Formats: sequence, structure tokens, C-alpha cells
Amino acid sequence: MTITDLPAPETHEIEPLLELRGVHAAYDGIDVLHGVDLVVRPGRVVAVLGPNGAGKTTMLKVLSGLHPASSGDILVAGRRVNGARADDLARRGLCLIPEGRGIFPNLTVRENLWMMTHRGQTKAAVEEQAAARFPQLTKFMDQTAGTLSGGQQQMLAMARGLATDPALLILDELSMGLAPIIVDQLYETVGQVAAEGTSILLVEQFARIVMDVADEAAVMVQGRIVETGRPRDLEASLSQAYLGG
Amino acid sequence: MIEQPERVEQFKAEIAEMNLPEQTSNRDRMLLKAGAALMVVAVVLGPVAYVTSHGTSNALQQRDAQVMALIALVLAVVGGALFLRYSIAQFLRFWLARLSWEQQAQTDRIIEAMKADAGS
Repeated sequence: MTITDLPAPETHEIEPLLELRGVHAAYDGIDVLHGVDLVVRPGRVVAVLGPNGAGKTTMLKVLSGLHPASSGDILVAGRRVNGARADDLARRGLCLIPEGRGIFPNLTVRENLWMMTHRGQTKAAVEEQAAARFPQLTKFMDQTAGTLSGGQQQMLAMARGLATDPALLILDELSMGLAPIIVDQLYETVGQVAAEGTSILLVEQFARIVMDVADEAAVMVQGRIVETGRPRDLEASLSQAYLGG
Repeated sequence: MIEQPERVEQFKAEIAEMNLPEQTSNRDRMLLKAGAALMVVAVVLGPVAYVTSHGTSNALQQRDAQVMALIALVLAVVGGALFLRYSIAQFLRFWLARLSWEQQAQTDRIIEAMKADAGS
């Protein structure tokens, strides 16, 4: 048997890029996360689904260093990073595109893109990359970002995130407040990024959207991951989570 | 599926090199503050007990003040112990690690010397 005949390793044997173990978090002493366990392996797309108020955004804030975990372990690339600064994690390739897009509304589209040169890319390279991914943005390069439509702002937010060459891309409610046609376009881009091998963790309130993109899904209810599996296998759990039945 | 093994390896290397702040648990911080607070309470309670005792000729009230002074003493000792324990815990951990390392180094030196001696 030659080495090429060997079977490919099971994904469960691959060291996770991100792992949460029993993570608890609170706002002003009130627990919001009650022991979250989650694994994202390299090259996989994991969707965390759940109703409004389940703690999905808080979980993303905790794992990206924006909010402290009160207990539990956050492991990034096998290392416990509890207490790590958000900018340190971002600089190394953990990229969060937050709910509400997080762009600078008073800067132009071009200037917004220039903010993403912290990993050593030139301004021209960042602009070129954004234009290749979202050609629509090229028409608005000198327009202030706050004057763009919601969909264009989300494209700009994604272009900014992708310009950093993320090892792990984290998307929080990409579809929030957008027309379905725009959401489909954005998720098409997410699919392309995933096909290129970038690991993606996405959080969505609307489960249907992510069914075709995600390799794995987790259902989050009241600060806990209650079930994980393939997206299509979780439809029953999702109905229960959303309807409370 | 790992389509970008180089990027993943680079990410792992960069995360491994990242400086992380020392973690102090919430419980440690809380006990440190409790220790300091107990000492402050004791410092206040002691003179109050003295003034109470001195300001009366009633033996029962004087005994109450004595009890209060004893409680202040206990609080001062417990508070001091908690404060010391949790303020120097980090230093003690470092000291313990250094002691272990020195013992290991010494053991290695002895083994090397014994091997060299056996070989000659």
C-alpha cells in the first residue's frame, strides 16, 4: 500500500480550528450562555441556528474576544485563548463580521477597505480583491459607506473581512434586514469562500438560508447548544426551537 | 476537506506565538477583595470597641465591647490571610515552577555525572 492509497482522515480526527468547551457568559451578573460546546474544523462551514435571544451573538462576541467568558474554555487552533484581546485574534486571522455590518459610515468605500491592510496587504491589493469579489462596489468607491444600501453595506463588510485573508470567518446574521434576493447573492459568495477552503462559522436566525451552504449545523436555545448534526437532519429540532413545541 | 492547509498552519503558528494576559479567576479576585474588606472592617471595629468599652462603667456593656474587639481581631487575621494568599498566589506559582525546574536540572546534572563516572 502506498501513501496515496491510504484513506483520507475522518474530519473528527482533525484538530479543530475553534472549540468552545462549557462556555458560560453573563451580562451584569445575568447568565446568557449556560455551557456552550461547539467545534469548527478546518475547511468546514458550521451554522449556529436558533431563535432571537438564544445567545448566538453573545457566543460570537465571547469567542472573538469582545466579551469575557465567565467560565469554560475557548480554544483557537488548539490553544486556550480565554482573555485574549479581540484585536490580537483578528490580526492573526479570526475575522468577525458583526451584526449591523461594522463599517465606518462616514468614510468612503475605498477608505473602509484601506482599514483592512493590517495584515500587510497594499491598499491596491485590498481594492482589487474587493472588486473581484463584489464588482458592484467599484461604482461606489468614493461614496461614503453610510449612503450605500443595506445590501451594498453588507457586501462592503464582507469585502473588508475577506481582504484580511481570514483563517476563520465568522458571520453574524448576514441576512439581517436585507431583501431575499440580496441575501441569496451574499450566501452565494459565502459558498464560494467556503469552496476555497476558508473555515466559516455563521450564525443565522433564518435557518432555511444556510441549509445549502453549511456542512454542519448546531441548534442553540436559551444559551445552550441543544443539538448538532447535518443541517437537513436538524429540521425537527429547529421547528421545536423556534416554535417552543 | 482542508483546501488551505498553509493558511491553517500559519494561523496555528501565529496563535501559538500570541501573548496572552495572565488569567486570574473571578473567585480569586473576589476573595482578594473580601480579604481587604475584612481588614478594613477590623481596623474600624477595634477602635469602636475601645471607645464603647471606655465610655461606660456598665460591666455587661464592657464585656460586649470586648467580644466586639475579639471579633475585630479574628476578622483582621482572616482578612490578612485571604489577602496574602490571593495577592501573592501568582508569585508563589512562579516560585513553585522555578523550584521544580531547578530540582529537575539538578537531578539531570547528577545523572549526567553518574553516567560519566560509570563510563570512565
